[in-house]
Amino acid sequence: MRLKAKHLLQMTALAAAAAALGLGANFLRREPLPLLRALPGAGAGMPAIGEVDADFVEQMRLASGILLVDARSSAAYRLGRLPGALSLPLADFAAAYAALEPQLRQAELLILYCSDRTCGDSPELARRLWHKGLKKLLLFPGGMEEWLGRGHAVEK
Amino acid sequence: MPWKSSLGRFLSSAWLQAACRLALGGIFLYASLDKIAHPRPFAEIIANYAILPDWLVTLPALILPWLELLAGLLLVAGVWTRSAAALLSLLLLAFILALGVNALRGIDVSCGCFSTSAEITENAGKLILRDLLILLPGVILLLFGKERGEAEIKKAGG
Repeated sequence: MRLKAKHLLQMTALAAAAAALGLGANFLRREPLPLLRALPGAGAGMPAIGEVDADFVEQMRLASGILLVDARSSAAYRLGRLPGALSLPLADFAAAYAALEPQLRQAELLILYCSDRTCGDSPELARRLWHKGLKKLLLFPGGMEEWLGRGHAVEK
Repeated sequence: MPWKSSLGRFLSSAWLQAACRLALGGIFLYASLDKIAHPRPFAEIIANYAILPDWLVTLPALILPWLELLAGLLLVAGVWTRSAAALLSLLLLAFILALGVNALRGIDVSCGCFSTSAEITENAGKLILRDLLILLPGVILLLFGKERGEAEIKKAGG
């Protein structure tokens, strides 16, 4: 491929020129992007997702068009879940999503949960579903722990 | 092997080299414009790839489109051809890698290839195939292109 020092020099010059133009143009913009800092208000194109509590879920879970989605592992799901919840474990997202996609797309609202407030699986699941175009989402951040704490029924 | 030399002649022929320059350069030239005009949505798309840390997404969002524009212009003009082709091929390899990572993760990201609309999410496999196709003229330019100086030296050397 005969890339010589001359070519590497030219590539470096190109990169430097692009950096100067890009940063210069940014400097001249009315609202420049921050450098070496996260974008302000970055839900990365995704708006903040509404959050609900156990009592809301209990009231709404039988309404038509509402689906509960369990983001925990399938083992945890088998041990006990919110009544009627579907299993969409993050660890097996691609396959599980492919199987559930028609159901998910038909639903008018998806309520996502995992084990408790510290588990990151349901927010991550929300992010992935959002990027699949499923945007009617709610998070139930209290998850299984809050559900049990409020004494609601568990399906096994 | 006669077929080999005639294939080599075909791949290094002036008109095919020119076609590759115009195709690769033109594609990147076109692709850069929307992103130069809209750096913020492009930065959000880069963030959605979930590969770079959040604090690092604005730099490529600002610089990459200009790199595409400059290298595209040079290729179309036939100046610094090999360097521009090498740069754009490297970019394409990086894009393929980024798409591949998210294909393995099962995330269909919005591409950010030609437009900064975050609404369009596309199938990663198809996008990788498209990038490989765009890489083809780059490879032909790099492997079979002759720069002016080289051609003359070869002739002089017999």
